[in-house]
Amino acid sequence: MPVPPNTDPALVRAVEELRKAIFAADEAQLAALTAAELSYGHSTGLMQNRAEFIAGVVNRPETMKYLDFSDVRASVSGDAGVARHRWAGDVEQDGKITHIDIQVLLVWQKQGGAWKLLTRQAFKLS
Amino acid sequence: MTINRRHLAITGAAALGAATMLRNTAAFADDEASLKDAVEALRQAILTADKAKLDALTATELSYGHSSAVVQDKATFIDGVVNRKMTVKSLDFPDLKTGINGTSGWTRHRFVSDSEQDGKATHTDIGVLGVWQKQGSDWKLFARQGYKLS
Repeated sequence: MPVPPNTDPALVRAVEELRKAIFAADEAQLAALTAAELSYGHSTGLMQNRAEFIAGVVNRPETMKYLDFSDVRASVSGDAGVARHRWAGDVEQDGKITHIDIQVLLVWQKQGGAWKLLTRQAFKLS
Repeated sequence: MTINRRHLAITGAAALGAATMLRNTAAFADDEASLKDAVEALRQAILTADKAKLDALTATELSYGHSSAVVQDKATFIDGVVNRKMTVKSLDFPDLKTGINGTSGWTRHRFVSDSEQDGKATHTDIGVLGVWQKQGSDWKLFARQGYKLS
């Protein structure tokens, strides 16, 4: 299977900005990086709109110990961009650490020169 | 009240604004209907393994992810459907939801299918996110991800 090349450095940067904003639970950055029409799907099947997604990150009950996005692949067609990556991280709640290792599809749209996340779907590795 | 040029200009602008708004609302409804039509056309093309239709409904840059985490490009996806070994008995896309933002649209639906291979029947029920791009007057599938419902 051919791996799509990293054709857009700006899109790869936006993915990294998103990782940092999720890790830091940075409300302003999360808002800046997402489209108003965001549809954000978790690997559990839970679906959130933009307000629910941001509130979920900002008010999360667990502590995120680390968050890595690896195998980032991004391709661009006009004002639409697709990125895929692996999400690996540890979260801690009530002294219990949970390791998360999933795959993510991100779809971005260029709005006024900036990449905004339009849809996201995570899924478990099988 | 004296009607001067300024009044006329304001009235004209308001009328124009209303007309534009109406046009945009109508265009949006059209887009949503045509996006739903595209999803239905894709369902039929997958069910009947119609190579020409699959080609017409997908963007060159297609990134097609299965719930098994296999990711295919356009050629691999079409080849996989056309040369599949199993017989697809039924395929339904229930719970269809759509969202449109300019020339980009997303669709979410379940993918419910019964297939058979070597006498063994398999039932599939997964979730699918599709992302579409309007190219000219046609919606083209640009990215897709299937995922297991838990």
